[in-house]
Amino acid sequence: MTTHNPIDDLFSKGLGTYSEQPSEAVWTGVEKKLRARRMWFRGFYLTGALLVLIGLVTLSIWLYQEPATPIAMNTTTLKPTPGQKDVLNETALNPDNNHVVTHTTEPSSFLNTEKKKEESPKLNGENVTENNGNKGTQATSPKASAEKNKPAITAQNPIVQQLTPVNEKINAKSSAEAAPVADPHKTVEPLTESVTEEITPAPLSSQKKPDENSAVAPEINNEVAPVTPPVAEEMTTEAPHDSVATAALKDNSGVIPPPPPATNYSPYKPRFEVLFYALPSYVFRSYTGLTDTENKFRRENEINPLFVNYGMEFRCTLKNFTIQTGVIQRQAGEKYAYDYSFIQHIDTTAGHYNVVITSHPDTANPGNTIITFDSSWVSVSDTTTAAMKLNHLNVYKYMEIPFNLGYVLNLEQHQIGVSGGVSLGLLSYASSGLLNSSANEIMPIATGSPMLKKVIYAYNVSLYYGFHVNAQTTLFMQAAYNQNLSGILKNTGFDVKYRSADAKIGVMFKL
Amino acid sequence: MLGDAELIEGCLSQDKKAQRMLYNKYASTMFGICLRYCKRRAEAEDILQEAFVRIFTHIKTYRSEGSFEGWLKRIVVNTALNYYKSQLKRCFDEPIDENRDMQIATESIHGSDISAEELIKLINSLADGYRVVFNLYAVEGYSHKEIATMLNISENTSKSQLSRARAILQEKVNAYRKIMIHP
Repeated sequence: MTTHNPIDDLFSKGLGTYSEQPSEAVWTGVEKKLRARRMWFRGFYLTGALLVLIGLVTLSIWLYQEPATPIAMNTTTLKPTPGQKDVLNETALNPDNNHVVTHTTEPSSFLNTEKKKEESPKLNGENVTENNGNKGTQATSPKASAEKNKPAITAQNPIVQQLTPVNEKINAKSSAEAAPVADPHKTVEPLTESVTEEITPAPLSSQKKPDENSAVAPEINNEVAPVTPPVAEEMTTEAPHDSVATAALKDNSGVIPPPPPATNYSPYKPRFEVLFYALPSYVFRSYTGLTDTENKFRRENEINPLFVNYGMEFRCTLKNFTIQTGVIQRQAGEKYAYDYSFIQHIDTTAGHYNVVITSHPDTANPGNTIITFDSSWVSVSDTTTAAMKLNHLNVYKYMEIPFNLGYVLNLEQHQIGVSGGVSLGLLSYASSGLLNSSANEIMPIATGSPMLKKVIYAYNVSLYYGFHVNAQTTLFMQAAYNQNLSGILKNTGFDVKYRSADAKIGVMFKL
Repeated sequence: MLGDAELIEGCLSQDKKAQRMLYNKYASTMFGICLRYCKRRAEAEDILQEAFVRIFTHIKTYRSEGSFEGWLKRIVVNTALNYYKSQLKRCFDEPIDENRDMQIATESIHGSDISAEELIKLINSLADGYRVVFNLYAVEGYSHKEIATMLNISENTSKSQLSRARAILQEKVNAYRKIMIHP
């Protein structure tokens, strides 16, 4: 550029086209940063996709999960107690309106509907297999009739084959005796004779091609020996599959109890929970070994302490042991505002994941004292871009072992808890940098650095509140305060202690 | 050697070879700019590194309306300015002795007998605020209005910083010549 000032001319002419080759380390650094950026974006989107996927799966499970349905309707319908009303608190899908309904099934009513099945020209394994209360209800509706007109299914389950003659006998018997409208007080006659011949009409035999359904046809026709009484054998066959219903039938009252509340889990079956939450956190850093002015300056300029995590956790609990794993993404990172000339900026948008194994009693039961033992492995990373040769990824990894004692009180839909304890943090990996006490240089820190303590101690207290929206969903909030009992540095002339206050707010779904 | 258009296309598709070729083509020129804004070579290399990361990640924003090299230079200069932002704030708050500037600025300089390396050394001896404003005005060709906007200062501040920088440089150039003539 040409100007009227001789100084300007001198420098613009002398430096306008000046060039000099930088060192090879510059390109290496560019490649490294581009790679880290690509990895970060990939991880961010993968985490997001994973969270969305898990959320959708959880939502779909939650929405379509039906209440526990008593099983073994076959057994109850096959063996009605003569003269006794067979009350079932069963759940059936009403085909007319798709509503889940609870109704009482009468043996005679069921037998009556089965008669209609009998009248259908198709007698196949499907009809026989689904010989339960639900089917009985469906058989009285137009949709059920349409269902019966579907082509016969040729495949046959061997277990079903054993049921076939029995059910058919019942159906045939009922077809001869049952009235169109069920009479709840009507006594069902014991089935004492084989009705094989009755259910083997000529048209049916002609419809069944031996080569198409050879497993079914012989039984239907004449190969099944008469069983007297047939239901006794059937009960034996079905018992292993229908333990709940069988046990209920063995009860003298003859009444199956209602299904247990969803919050009561069998301790011998694993249960699964998934949690989604936001975790706003406020972090304090206090220094020892520095003057008050230096301390204040660092606190004001080195860190913007409010940030937000969001994440999900997946828990599997068997008896008293819970295995939990989670992913936390820091959305609004610690926004460092260094006022030091040699630091450009620090980007602390980071990923955080952990695996926790917990031992505690079932929190669904009221009034538990909970002693927890957690083992978690935590990895936190951020990127520092300094104007010195210390551009790198800051990574700290700790194995945290907390020992917490807590108490949870269940008050109907509300759950209130308090817990506290101490934890050990075992340093497993570090690759970072730290400002020296004079704030004029960054000191590199590695895992084996003599400046880092290998074990740090902390304590924490937390308050928990949960609200059971329904059997599967719980809204929760947990406020916690954590403080280091010891600093993280040594041999540096100063030390750093962290304190944090956070509030975990989220929702938990029981799968 | 590929042209700029091909290199840009390659960089847009994240081709590492294209990125390397683009870097090789312009790194030395851009490093020359960085050296004018930094007192230390290490700082200049860090700025260059950060600038090329920005170039590769924002290359999709290049509209092909102006010169590609000009676009690269603007990114490098902006990166350098961001680098010194916190320090510059303090520099611009310092009072300036206008009388002294005017007195020195009236002296004249003839010829260009000073090497580029020496000129860079002279520029680097300036305080951050003077150096940045002088570079932007005298070498890059920005107006005071543009500089004021870029640095978030007033036009008068930009003018006074330039005036002071010129005076100091003139003094240093004169001293340098005296040493060269009478070693």
